[in-house]
Amino acid sequence: MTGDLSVIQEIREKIAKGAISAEEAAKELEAAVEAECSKADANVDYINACEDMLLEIRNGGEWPAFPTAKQYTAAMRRHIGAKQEAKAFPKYARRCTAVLATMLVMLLVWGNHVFRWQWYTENTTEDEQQFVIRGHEVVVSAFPPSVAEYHSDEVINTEDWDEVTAFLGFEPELPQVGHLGFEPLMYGAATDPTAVMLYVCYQSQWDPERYLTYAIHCVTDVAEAYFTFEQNDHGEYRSIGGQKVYCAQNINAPMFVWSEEGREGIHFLSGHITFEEGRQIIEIFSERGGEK
Amino acid sequence: MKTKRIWILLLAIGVLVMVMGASAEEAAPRADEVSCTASVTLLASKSVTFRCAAMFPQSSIYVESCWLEVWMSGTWMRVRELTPPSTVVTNALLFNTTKSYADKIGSGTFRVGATFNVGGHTVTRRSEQRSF
Repeated sequence: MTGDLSVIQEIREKIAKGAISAEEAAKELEAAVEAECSKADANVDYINACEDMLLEIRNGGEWPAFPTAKQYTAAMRRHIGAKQEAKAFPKYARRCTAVLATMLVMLLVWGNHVFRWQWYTENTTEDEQQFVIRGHEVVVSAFPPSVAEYHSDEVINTEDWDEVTAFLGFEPELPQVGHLGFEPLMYGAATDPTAVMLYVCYQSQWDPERYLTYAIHCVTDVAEAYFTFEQNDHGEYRSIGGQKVYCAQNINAPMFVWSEEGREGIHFLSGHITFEEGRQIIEIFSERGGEK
Repeated sequence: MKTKRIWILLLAIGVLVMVMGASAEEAAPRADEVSCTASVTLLASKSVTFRCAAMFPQSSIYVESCWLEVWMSGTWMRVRELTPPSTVVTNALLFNTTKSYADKIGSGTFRVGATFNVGGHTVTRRSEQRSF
């Protein structure tokens, strides 16, 4: 039988006197355990005594407190609970996957209608020379509508209203301006990848040098919609006939821009009229829905 | 006496600056007396829509010149001339045409400038920038 238990007592005394540090004592004990283990007739009591003291040193001189049965049971329950929660995750993941798959199917089937956000911004350019209406669109879909809804690029200028309606495919409503002496002089209609538009030039029957322009832009591709209107400088918004109307000046001609609910149509009016006459035209147009 | 001369000199400079300011304002006219809409739109497809509407019928409306500008080192640089659309509308109120420049526009931030000729009157406008 080897292993002298008095060695442990010596180490304990050295620590108590401060002759060696706890780290040095731990190293000595580890070396002693290793040396004893390598022997054929190792003294197990000696090894256990060394390890007990190592444990005591590593716990700051305190004998480690072992948990009670109650504490042990509670810890085990917590451990088992954690395992059960971990097991529950794949089930939750499966549910999430099912929801995502359903959304994906909806996206592919109804994406063009359901997952579409459209909005417009209005601003004056930095030099204040143009009033700009610009469309924005986010479509969560596999196929961008700008490709699906592409319109051909055509333009006509004519004095024949029937030709205009045939070109547009519908008969747009026009503002009532006859009471101011204005009669339609020429129509300009066009389709392009972003809009279908109609410009009407009216000429005064009382003064041939006076003109009035009304235009409507029907947006077909909101994402690419971009309309500019010439102006002297930044105007202001006014409420006319229940509409929010942007009012400004182009040289000496008042200029009005307003849009319908949802912005399918953007209206423009400008010409040799007074602001008050413009206001009346828009009011009547809003109330009566215009005339041919 | 010397102070009086300095005051007169300062007054003259002030008047000169005001006159120059007024002239500059006249030299850069706002709005446009012939067209009510003049716009250049650079589309995502690298096509450009040229749109110009006159306030009253014009003998002709067309794009006189057209060019590409690129945003480089914090400034816009005119990098190449583009062939303007061949469309010319006569006795017209509205000009609206789209031309593809996909083979002329590469990667980067670009805008397109164009000068419209509206019955002999010219108006120059640039598109908003677009990155490809």
